[in-house]
Amino acid sequence: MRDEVDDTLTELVESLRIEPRRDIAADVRARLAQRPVRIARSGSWYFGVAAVAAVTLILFARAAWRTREYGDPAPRPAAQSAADRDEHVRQRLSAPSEAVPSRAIHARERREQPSRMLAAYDNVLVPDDQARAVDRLLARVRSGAVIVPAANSLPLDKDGLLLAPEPVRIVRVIVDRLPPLDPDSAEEAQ
Amino acid sequence: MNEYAVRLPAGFVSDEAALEREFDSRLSDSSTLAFRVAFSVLRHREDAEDVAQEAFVRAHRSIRQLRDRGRFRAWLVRMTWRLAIDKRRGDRRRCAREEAVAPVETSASSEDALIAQERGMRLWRAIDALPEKLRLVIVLSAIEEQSVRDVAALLEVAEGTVKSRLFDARKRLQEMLCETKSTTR
Repeated sequence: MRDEVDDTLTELVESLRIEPRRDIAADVRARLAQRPVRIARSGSWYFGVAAVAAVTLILFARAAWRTREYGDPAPRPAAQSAADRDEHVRQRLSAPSEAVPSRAIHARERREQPSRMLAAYDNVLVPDDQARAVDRLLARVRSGAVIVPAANSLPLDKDGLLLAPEPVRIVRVIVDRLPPLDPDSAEEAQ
Repeated sequence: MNEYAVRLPAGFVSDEAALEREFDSRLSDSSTLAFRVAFSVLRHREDAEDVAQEAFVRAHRSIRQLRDRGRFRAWLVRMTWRLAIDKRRGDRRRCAREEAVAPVETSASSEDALIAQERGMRLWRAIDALPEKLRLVIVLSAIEEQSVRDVAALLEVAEGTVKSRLFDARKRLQEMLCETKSTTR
Protein backbone atom coordinates (compact mmCIF):
# COMPACT_ATOMS: atom_id res chain seq x y z
CA MET A 1 0.00 0.00 0.00
CA ARG A 2 2.91 2.32 0.79
CA ASP A 3 4.17 1.72 -2.75
CA GLU A 4 0.82 2.68 -4.08
CA VAL A 5 0.96 5.99 -2.20
CA ASP A 6 4.42 6.59 -3.57
CA ASP A 7 3.15 5.78 -7.04
CA THR A 8 0.29 8.21 -6.53
CA LEU A 9 2.65 10.95 -5.43
CA THR A 10 4.99 10.26 -8.32
CA GLU A 11 2.02 10.46 -10.62
CA LEU A 12 1.10 13.76 -9.03
CA VAL A 13 4.61 15.10 -9.57
CA GLU A 14 4.44 13.98 -13.18
CA SER A 15 1.07 15.52 -13.78
CA LEU A 16 2.17 18.83 -12.27
CA ARG A 17 5.30 18.97 -14.37
CA ILE A 18 3.22 20.81 -16.88
CA GLU A 19 4.23 23.97 -18.70
CA PRO A 20 1.85 26.71 -19.78
CA ARG A 21 1.27 26.98 -23.50
CA ARG A 22 0.77 30.70 -23.45
CA ASP A 23 3.48 33.11 -22.40
CA ILE A 24 1.86 34.25 -19.18
CA ALA A 25 4.48 36.92 -18.49
CA ALA A 26 3.96 38.49 -21.92
CA ASP A 27 0.19 38.39 -21.49
CA VAL A 28 0.44 40.08 -18.11
CA ARG A 29 2.76 42.76 -19.49
CA ALA A 30 0.38 43.40 -22.37
CA ARG A 31 -2.56 43.61 -20.01
CA LEU A 32 -0.78 46.00 -17.67
CA ALA A 33 0.30 48.17 -20.59
CA GLN A 34 -3.30 48.49 -21.77
CA ARG A 35 -4.67 49.78 -18.47
CA PRO A 36 -4.28 53.42 -17.54
CA VAL A 37 -2.79 52.33 -14.24
CA ARG A 38 -0.24 55.07 -13.72
CA ILE A 39 -2.59 57.80 -12.61
CA ALA A 40 -4.94 55.51 -10.77
CA ARG A 41 -2.16 53.66 -9.01
CA SER A 42 0.15 56.43 -7.92
CA GLY A 43 -2.39 59.19 -7.71
CA SER A 44 -5.37 57.57 -6.06
CA TRP A 45 -4.15 58.47 -2.58
CA TYR A 46 -3.59 62.11 -3.51
CA PHE A 47 -6.93 62.35 -5.32
CA GLY A 48 -8.70 60.98 -2.26
CA VAL A 49 -7.07 63.54 0.05
CA ALA A 50 -7.80 66.35 -2.42
CA ALA A 51 -11.45 65.32 -2.66
CA VAL A 52 -11.88 65.26 1.13
CA ALA A 53 -10.16 68.66 1.43
CA ALA A 54 -12.40 70.13 -1.28
CA VAL A 55 -15.58 68.87 0.40
CA THR A 56 -14.42 70.24 3.78
CA LEU A 57 -13.67 73.62 2.23
CA ILE A 58 -17.09 73.75 0.57
CA LEU A 59 -18.81 72.91 3.87
CA PHE A 60 -16.86 75.60 5.74
CA ALA A 61 -17.60 78.19 3.07
CA ARG A 62 -21.29 77.32 3.16
CA ALA A 63 -21.39 77.57 6.96
CA ALA A 64 -19.61 80.94 6.84
CA TRP A 65 -22.04 82.25 4.21
CA ARG A 66 -25.05 81.10 6.24
CA THR A 67 -23.70 82.75 9.37
CA ARG A 68 -23.20 86.03 7.51
CA GLU A 69 -26.64 85.80 5.91
CA TYR A 70 -28.75 84.63 8.83
CA GLY A 71 -26.60 85.38 11.85
CA ASP A 72 -24.98 83.08 14.34
CA PRO A 73 -27.29 80.14 15.00
CA ALA A 74 -28.45 80.00 18.58
CA PRO A 75 -27.52 76.84 20.43
CA ARG A 76 -30.29 74.30 20.56
CA PRO A 77 -31.96 74.50 23.95
CA ALA A 78 -31.40 71.57 26.23
CA ALA A 79 -34.32 69.62 27.65
CA GLN A 80 -36.68 72.15 29.13
CA SER A 81 -39.18 71.85 31.89
CA ALA A 82 -42.86 72.35 31.10
CA ALA A 83 -42.76 75.74 32.84
CA ASP A 84 -39.85 76.89 30.69
CA ARG A 85 -41.67 75.81 27.58
CA ASP A 86 -44.78 77.66 28.58
CA GLU A 87 -42.72 80.76 29.23
CA HIS A 88 -41.08 80.44 25.84
CA VAL A 89 -44.45 80.16 24.13
CA ARG A 90 -45.87 83.10 26.07
CA GLN A 91 -42.92 85.19 24.96
CA ARG A 92 -43.46 84.16 21.38
CA LEU A 93 -47.17 84.94 21.43
CA SER A 94 -46.63 88.31 22.99
CA ALA A 95 -43.71 89.32 20.81
CA PRO A 96 -44.27 92.54 18.83
CA SER A 97 -44.35 92.26 15.06
CA GLU A 98 -40.84 93.76 14.71
CA ALA A 99 -39.49 90.90 16.78
CA VAL A 100 -40.87 88.26 14.48
CA PRO A 101 -38.13 85.76 13.95
CA SER A 102 -36.34 85.81 10.66
CA ARG A 103 -37.00 83.18 8.06
CA ALA A 104 -34.00 81.11 9.10
CA ILE A 105 -34.89 81.16 12.80
CA HIS A 106 -38.46 80.29 12.00
CA ALA A 107 -37.29 77.39 9.88
CA ARG A 108 -35.10 76.23 12.71
CA GLU A 109 -38.00 76.34 15.12
CA ARG A 110 -40.09 74.33 12.73
CA ARG A 111 -37.44 71.65 12.85
CA GLU A 112 -37.59 71.45 16.60
CA GLN A 113 -39.06 68.57 18.52
CA PRO A 114 -42.83 68.11 18.13
CA SER A 115 -43.14 67.92 21.92
CA ARG A 116 -41.86 71.48 22.08
CA MET A 117 -44.61 72.58 19.75
CA LEU A 118 -47.33 70.93 21.76
CA ALA A 119 -46.87 73.75 24.22
CA ALA A 120 -47.82 76.14 21.45
CA TYR A 121 -51.12 74.35 21.15
CA ASP A 122 -51.55 74.71 24.86
CA ASN A 123 -51.49 78.43 24.33
CA VAL A 124 -53.72 78.61 21.28
CA LEU A 125 -56.64 80.72 22.34
CA VAL A 126 -59.98 79.12 21.65
CA PRO A 127 -63.56 80.02 22.66
CA ASP A 128 -64.67 78.44 25.94
CA ASP A 129 -67.16 76.12 24.30
CA GLN A 130 -64.34 74.57 22.30
CA ALA A 131 -62.00 74.13 25.26
CA ARG A 132 -63.11 70.59 25.95
CA ALA A 133 -62.53 69.62 22.35
CA VAL A 134 -59.06 71.13 22.51
CA ASP A 135 -58.34 69.24 25.72
CA ARG A 136 -59.30 66.02 24.04
CA LEU A 137 -57.19 66.92 21.05
CA LEU A 138 -54.15 67.66 23.20
CA ALA A 139 -54.63 64.44 25.12
CA ARG A 140 -54.61 62.58 21.84
CA VAL A 141 -51.57 64.49 20.62
CA ARG A 142 -49.71 63.65 23.82
CA SER A 143 -50.61 60.00 23.48
CA GLY A 144 -49.00 60.04 20.03
CA ALA A 145 -52.13 60.00 17.87
CA VAL A 146 -51.75 60.63 14.15
CA ILE A 147 -53.03 64.11 13.54
CA VAL A 148 -53.58 65.97 10.28
CA PRO A 149 -54.10 69.74 10.35
CA ALA A 150 -56.78 71.26 8.18
CA ALA A 151 -55.36 74.06 6.07
CA ASN A 152 -57.87 76.68 7.23
CA SER A 153 -57.48 75.93 10.90
CA LEU A 154 -53.73 76.14 11.38
CA PRO A 155 -52.88 78.19 14.44
CA LEU A 156 -51.21 81.36 13.24
CA ASP A 157 -49.70 84.16 15.23
CA LYS A 158 -50.36 87.86 14.68
CA ASP A 159 -48.11 88.03 11.64
CA GLY A 160 -49.55 84.98 10.09
CA LEU A 161 -46.60 82.76 11.03
CA LEU A 162 -47.34 79.18 11.76
CA LEU A 163 -47.10 78.36 15.43
CA ALA A 164 -46.94 74.67 14.88
CA PRO A 165 -44.47 72.81 12.74
CA GLU A 166 -45.75 71.38 9.51
CA PRO A 167 -45.22 67.78 10.49
CA VAL A 168 -47.41 68.12 13.56
CA ARG A 169 -50.47 66.11 12.75
CA ILE A 170 -53.83 67.03 14.19
CA VAL A 171 -57.03 65.07 14.04
CA ARG A 172 -58.81 66.69 11.16
CA VAL A 173 -62.26 66.22 12.61
CA ILE A 174 -61.45 68.03 15.82
CA VAL A 175 -59.39 70.80 14.31
CA ASP A 176 -61.98 71.49 11.68
CA ARG A 177 -64.36 72.41 14.48
CA LEU A 178 -61.98 75.08 15.73
CA PRO A 179 -62.55 78.51 14.25
CA PRO A 180 -59.48 80.17 12.75
CA LEU A 181 -57.58 82.06 15.43
CA ASP A 182 -58.55 85.71 15.52
CA PRO A 183 -55.50 87.89 16.33
CA ASP A 184 -57.71 90.55 17.97
CA SER A 185 -59.27 88.10 20.38
CA ALA A 186 -55.80 86.81 21.24
CA GLU A 187 -54.65 90.28 22.16
CA GLU A 188 -57.77 90.83 24.25
CA ALA A 189 -57.25 87.62 26.10
CA GLN A 190 -53.72 88.60 26.97
CA MET B 1 13.49 74.12 -0.77
CA ASN B 2 13.79 74.05 -4.55
CA GLU B 3 16.36 71.37 -4.20
CA TYR B 4 13.87 69.14 -2.38
CA ALA B 5 11.15 69.97 -4.88
CA VAL B 6 13.35 68.75 -7.69
CA ARG B 7 14.63 65.73 -5.81
CA LEU B 8 11.32 64.36 -4.61
CA PRO B 9 9.67 63.59 -7.96
CA ALA B 10 12.95 62.19 -9.28
CA GLY B 11 13.19 59.82 -6.32
CA PHE B 12 9.57 58.93 -6.67
CA VAL B 13 9.94 58.17 -10.36
CA SER B 14 13.12 56.13 -9.88
CA ASP B 15 11.43 54.19 -7.06
CA GLU B 16 8.51 53.44 -9.36
CA ALA B 17 10.81 52.32 -12.14
CA ALA B 18 12.78 50.06 -9.76
CA LEU B 19 9.53 48.52 -8.55
CA GLU B 20 8.41 47.90 -12.12
CA ARG B 21 11.72 46.24 -12.95
CA GLU B 22 11.52 44.08 -9.84
CA PHE B 23 7.98 43.01 -10.65
CA ASP B 24 9.01 42.21 -14.20
CA SER B 25 11.81 39.93 -13.07
CA ARG B 26 9.52 38.19 -10.57
CA LEU B 27 6.92 37.79 -13.28
CA SER B 28 9.38 35.91 -15.45
CA ASP B 29 10.59 33.77 -12.53
CA SER B 30 7.28 32.78 -11.03
CA SER B 31 4.84 32.51 -13.92
CA THR B 32 5.24 28.74 -14.18
CA LEU B 33 4.84 28.32 -10.42
CA ALA B 34 1.60 30.31 -10.46
CA PHE B 35 0.37 28.33 -13.45
CA ARG B 36 1.11 24.98 -11.77
CA VAL B 37 -0.56 26.00 -8.54
CA ALA B 38 -3.64 27.05 -10.47
CA PHE B 39 -3.53 23.88 -12.54
CA SER B 40 -3.37 21.70 -9.41
CA VAL B 41 -6.74 23.14 -8.42
CA LEU B 42 -8.44 23.53 -11.78
CA ARG B 43 -6.89 20.74 -13.88
CA HIS B 44 -7.60 22.77 -16.96
CA ARG B 45 -4.73 24.34 -18.84
CA GLU B 46 -6.45 27.44 -20.24
CA ASP B 47 -8.25 28.20 -17.01
CA ALA B 48 -5.01 27.81 -15.07
CA GLU B 49 -3.29 30.22 -17.44
CA ASP B 50 -6.10 32.74 -16.98
CA VAL B 51 -5.94 32.44 -13.21
CA ALA B 52 -2.15 32.79 -13.16
CA GLN B 53 -2.45 35.90 -15.31
CA GLU B 54 -5.11 37.37 -13.03
CA ALA B 55 -2.97 36.62 -9.96
CA PHE B 56 -0.06 38.55 -11.47
CA VAL B 57 -2.28 41.50 -12.37
CA ARG B 58 -3.54 41.62 -8.78
CA ALA B 59 -0.02 41.24 -7.46
CA HIS B 60 1.05 44.18 -9.60
CA ARG B 61 -1.82 46.25 -8.26
CA SER B 62 -0.93 45.66 -4.62
CA ILE B 63 2.79 44.96 -4.63
CA ARG B 64 3.36 48.23 -2.75
CA GLN B 65 1.53 46.73 0.21
CA LEU B 66 4.01 43.86 0.38
CA ARG B 67 6.62 45.12 2.83
CA ASP B 68 9.01 42.20 2.55
CA ARG B 69 9.60 41.67 -1.16
CA GLY B 70 11.38 38.39 -0.43
CA ARG B 71 7.99 36.90 0.37
CA PHE B 72 6.68 37.55 -3.13
CA ARG B 73 6.54 33.91 -4.19
CA ALA B 74 4.71 32.81 -1.03
CA TRP B 75 2.29 35.71 -1.44
CA LEU B 76 1.73 34.86 -5.10
CA VAL B 77 1.14 31.18 -4.33
CA ARG B 78 -1.53 32.00 -1.75
CA MET B 79 -3.21 34.50 -4.07
CA THR B 80 -3.20 32.08 -7.00
CA TRP B 81 -4.50 29.25 -4.82
CA ARG B 82 -7.42 31.37 -3.57
CA LEU B 83 -8.23 32.66 -7.05
CA ALA B 84 -8.18 29.14 -8.48
CA ILE B 85 -10.44 27.83 -5.73
CA ASP B 86 -12.87 30.71 -6.31
CA LYS B 87 -12.85 30.02 -10.03
CA ARG B 88 -13.44 26.34 -9.50
CA ARG B 89 -16.41 27.06 -7.25
CA GLY B 90 -17.88 29.39 -9.88
CA ASP B 91 -17.24 26.88 -12.65
CA ARG B 92 -18.83 24.08 -10.66
CA ARG B 93 -22.00 26.09 -10.26
CA ARG B 94 -21.96 26.99 -13.95
CA CYS B 95 -21.27 23.38 -15.00
CA ALA B 96 -24.09 22.15 -12.79
CA ARG B 97 -26.45 24.57 -14.52
CA GLU B 98 -25.22 23.66 -18.00
CA GLU B 99 -25.35 19.94 -17.32
CA ALA B 100 -28.90 20.32 -16.12
CA VAL B 101 -29.78 21.81 -19.51
CA ALA B 102 -27.65 19.75 -21.92
CA PRO B 103 -26.65 16.11 -21.35
CA VAL B 104 -22.91 15.38 -21.64
CA GLU B 105 -21.92 13.62 -24.83
CA THR B 106 -19.82 10.48 -24.41
CA SER B 107 -17.13 9.77 -26.96
CA ALA B 108 -15.62 6.41 -27.73
CA SER B 109 -11.99 6.07 -26.69
CA SER B 110 -9.40 3.34 -26.47
CA GLU B 111 -9.15 1.13 -23.42
CA ASP B 112 -5.71 2.49 -22.42
CA ALA B 113 -6.89 6.05 -22.55
CA LEU B 114 -9.85 5.14 -20.41
CA ILE B 115 -7.66 3.42 -17.84
CA ALA B 116 -5.28 6.38 -17.74
CA GLN B 117 -8.20 8.71 -17.40
CA GLU B 118 -9.62 6.61 -14.60
CA ARG B 119 -6.27 6.59 -12.77
CA GLY B 120 -5.94 10.33 -13.14
CA MET B 121 -9.43 10.87 -11.82
CA ARG B 122 -8.74 8.60 -8.85
CA LEU B 123 -5.55 10.46 -8.06
CA TRP B 124 -7.17 13.87 -8.15
CA ARG B 125 -10.22 12.66 -6.28
CA ALA B 126 -7.94 11.49 -3.48
CA ILE B 127 -6.00 14.78 -3.50
CA ASP B 128 -9.22 16.80 -3.53
CA ALA B 129 -10.53 14.90 -0.53
CA LEU B 130 -7.61 16.10 1.60
CA PRO B 131 -8.10 19.10 3.88
CA GLU B 132 -6.88 22.33 2.32
CA LYS B 133 -3.69 22.61 4.41
CA LEU B 134 -2.58 19.10 3.55
CA ARG B 135 -3.61 19.47 -0.08
CA LEU B 136 -1.55 22.64 -0.49
CA VAL B 137 1.50 20.99 1.08
CA ILE B 138 1.30 17.91 -1.07
CA VAL B 139 0.69 19.87 -4.26
CA LEU B 140 3.52 22.30 -3.58
CA SER B 141 5.86 19.49 -2.69
CA ALA B 142 4.97 17.87 -6.00
CA ILE B 143 5.59 21.15 -7.83
CA GLU B 144 8.85 21.77 -6.00
CA GLU B 145 10.01 18.18 -6.57
CA GLN B 146 9.58 17.15 -2.91
CA SER B 147 11.84 19.86 -1.48
CA VAL B 148 10.64 20.41 2.08
CA ARG B 149 12.69 23.58 2.47
CA ASP B 150 11.18 25.20 -0.63
CA VAL B 151 7.66 24.26 0.42
CA ALA B 152 8.28 25.66 3.90
CA ALA B 153 9.50 28.90 2.35
CA LEU B 154 6.45 29.10 0.09
CA LEU B 155 4.02 28.46 2.92
CA GLU B 156 6.03 30.50 5.44
CA VAL B 157 5.93 27.70 7.99
CA ALA B 158 8.65 25.66 9.68
CA GLU B 159 10.15 22.70 7.85
CA GLY B 160 8.95 20.44 10.67
CA THR B 161 5.39 21.59 10.03
CA VAL B 162 5.72 20.74 6.36
CA LYS B 163 7.08 17.30 7.22
CA SER B 164 4.27 16.54 9.66
CA ARG B 165 1.66 17.74 7.17
CA LEU B 166 3.22 15.60 4.45
CA PHE B 167 3.13 12.63 6.79
CA ASP B 168 -0.56 13.26 7.56
CA ALA B 169 -1.35 13.70 3.90
CA ARG B 170 0.36 10.43 2.97
CA LYS B 171 -1.49 8.63 5.73
CA ARG B 172 -4.83 9.94 4.58
CA LEU B 173 -4.04 9.16 0.96
CA GLN B 174 -3.17 5.60 1.99
CA GLU B 175 -6.49 5.25 3.83
CA MET B 176 -8.43 6.63 0.91
CA LEU B 177 -6.71 4.38 -1.60
CA CYS B 178 -7.50 1.38 0.67
CA GLU B 179 -11.14 2.39 0.77
CA THR B 180 -11.31 2.81 -3.00
CA LYS B 181 -9.76 -0.61 -3.50
CA SER B 182 -12.17 -2.30 -1.14
CA THR B 183 -15.18 -0.67 -2.80
CA THR B 184 -14.05 -1.58 -6.34
CA ARG B 185 -13.54 -5.26 -5.41
